[in-house]
Amino acid sequence: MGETSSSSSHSRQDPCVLGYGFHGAMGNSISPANFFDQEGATYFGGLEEALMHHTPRRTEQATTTSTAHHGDTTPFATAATATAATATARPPPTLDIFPSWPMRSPHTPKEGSNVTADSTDSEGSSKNNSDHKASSDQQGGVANMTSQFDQISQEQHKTMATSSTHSERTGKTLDPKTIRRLAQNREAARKSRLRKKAYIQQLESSKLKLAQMEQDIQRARSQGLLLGGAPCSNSSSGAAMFDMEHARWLDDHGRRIVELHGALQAHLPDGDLRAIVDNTLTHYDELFRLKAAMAKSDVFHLITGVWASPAERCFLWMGGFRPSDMLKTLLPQLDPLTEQQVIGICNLQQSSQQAEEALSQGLEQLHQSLADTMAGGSLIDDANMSFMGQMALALGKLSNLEGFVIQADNLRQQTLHQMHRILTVRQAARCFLAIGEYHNRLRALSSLWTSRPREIQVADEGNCGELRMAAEPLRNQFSAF
Amino acid sequence: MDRVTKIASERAVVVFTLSSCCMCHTVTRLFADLGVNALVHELDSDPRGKDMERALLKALGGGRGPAVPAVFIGGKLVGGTNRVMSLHLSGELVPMLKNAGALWL
Repeated sequence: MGETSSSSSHSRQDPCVLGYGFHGAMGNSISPANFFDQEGATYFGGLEEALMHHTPRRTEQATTTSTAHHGDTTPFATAATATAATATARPPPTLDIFPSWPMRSPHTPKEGSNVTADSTDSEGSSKNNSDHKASSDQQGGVANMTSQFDQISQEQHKTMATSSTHSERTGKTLDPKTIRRLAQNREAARKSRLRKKAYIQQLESSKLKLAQMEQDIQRARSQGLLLGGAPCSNSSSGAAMFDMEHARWLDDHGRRIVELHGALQAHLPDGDLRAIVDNTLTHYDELFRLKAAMAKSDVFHLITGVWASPAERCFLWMGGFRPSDMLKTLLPQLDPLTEQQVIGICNLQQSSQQAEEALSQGLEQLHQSLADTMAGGSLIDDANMSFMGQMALALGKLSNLEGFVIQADNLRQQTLHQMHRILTVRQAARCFLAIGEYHNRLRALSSLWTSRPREIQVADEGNCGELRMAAEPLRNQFSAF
Repeated sequence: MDRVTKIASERAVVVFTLSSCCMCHTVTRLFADLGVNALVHELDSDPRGKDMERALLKALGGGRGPAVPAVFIGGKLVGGTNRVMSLHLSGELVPMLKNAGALWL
């Protein structure tokens, strides 16, 4: 996930899509051929320019460094990949793995002045890791240059070692060319050190981001938002899409809840509050639209509640919450209510209960009819000629299932709309808050449940007993469902 | 459609169904729970059931939805499952039934 291996074949997509702020500036690399076609002078010029660009902002984040390096990442990449490999292989004091003295052995191909502390040191380790990095082919490709550079490196080794003394020995005869070359070597060395530091900073931050991402995935998975934990084999792409849309809806919903909360606390005028409340209702309508579309494509996904968190699934009725139960929960939360409102809500609850009962009965009849079809003929003897006929019949009956889920969702939607009609604006706001919070708690319960300690010591009587009691009711409800 | 209208006016509440339709069972069950003695007319057992089904589908306003269950109250077409459920939740169904004389309280 880091910015390594820019020399690898694949090009990087826009990393910002991950939302973690990765800056893949170390992306596309220049092919070795291009690189070595560059004139030495222009290369130096690029370095000088980059150095000027870089020096004032030495402590800045890796991104600046990376963009500055974009033009000449290839050689650095090979060192960097080696760096990465060795960096990950050793504990934090990685900054010490590059001795400041260049090693006197064949190294990764770099032109002249850039053969300094960084690249020459790392080539030893890069040799070790050449198998692991995609840059290996690049190294091999230009291995023929190594012998040339070797000479230069040895020369520079001497010059590096003696550079400090050189400046003191101004009396000695040094042609300007040598002086210039020495200066450039020093500059390049410093630039390399800066780049090394920046790159390591980049690696560290990438490591942090990676850890953060893993944490997020873990959390999301425990909340049942991802199917990563559950077997994915039976979920169609439509189902995966629905799960994603549902997760997005939940995010949106969370924001609206916060908005409602704020609006209530701030005692906004009814007009403003009404707008927010109406929007929340419309947002619910969107959810039901989503679910209706899903019912047509994969009703089993909805009705088995895979998209919901485990605790919500436990209370699932025909692919969602049971309206009369919701009303029963809401009634005491919405005090004070006028008598007329109480009567209205009670009537709504009763009507919903009757409708739910009717739907449940209809579904029960569907189950029975389906079971009869499946058991048609003999289940034991092989001579069952009408298998495909049976299946065709059963398929026809199954298609009724989506009608039930859609009707159940319709009940849920109507319940919300009726509540919106019966209640005042402030009451409706509190009603939506209550519904949102209730489901939040169910989701929280689910995540706590999935992350609870599984090893219940038999000896630990007290805890064991409690946990088992807590587990029982849920299991019973599951079996009822 | 004439036959439909004729049968629909035979009782205060008339529901046209098909034996294969489970939603029809839902609607008839709901009326029964409300204390309504609805006339349930199964189209499969009617010789002109196919025509009536087509007519009902058109009357319900769409090529999409199922033709059944089709609910008539007081001889007038009310709608399908969706409509009946919505009416019931909004509290309008019961007054409608009372008006048609299907319910006494």
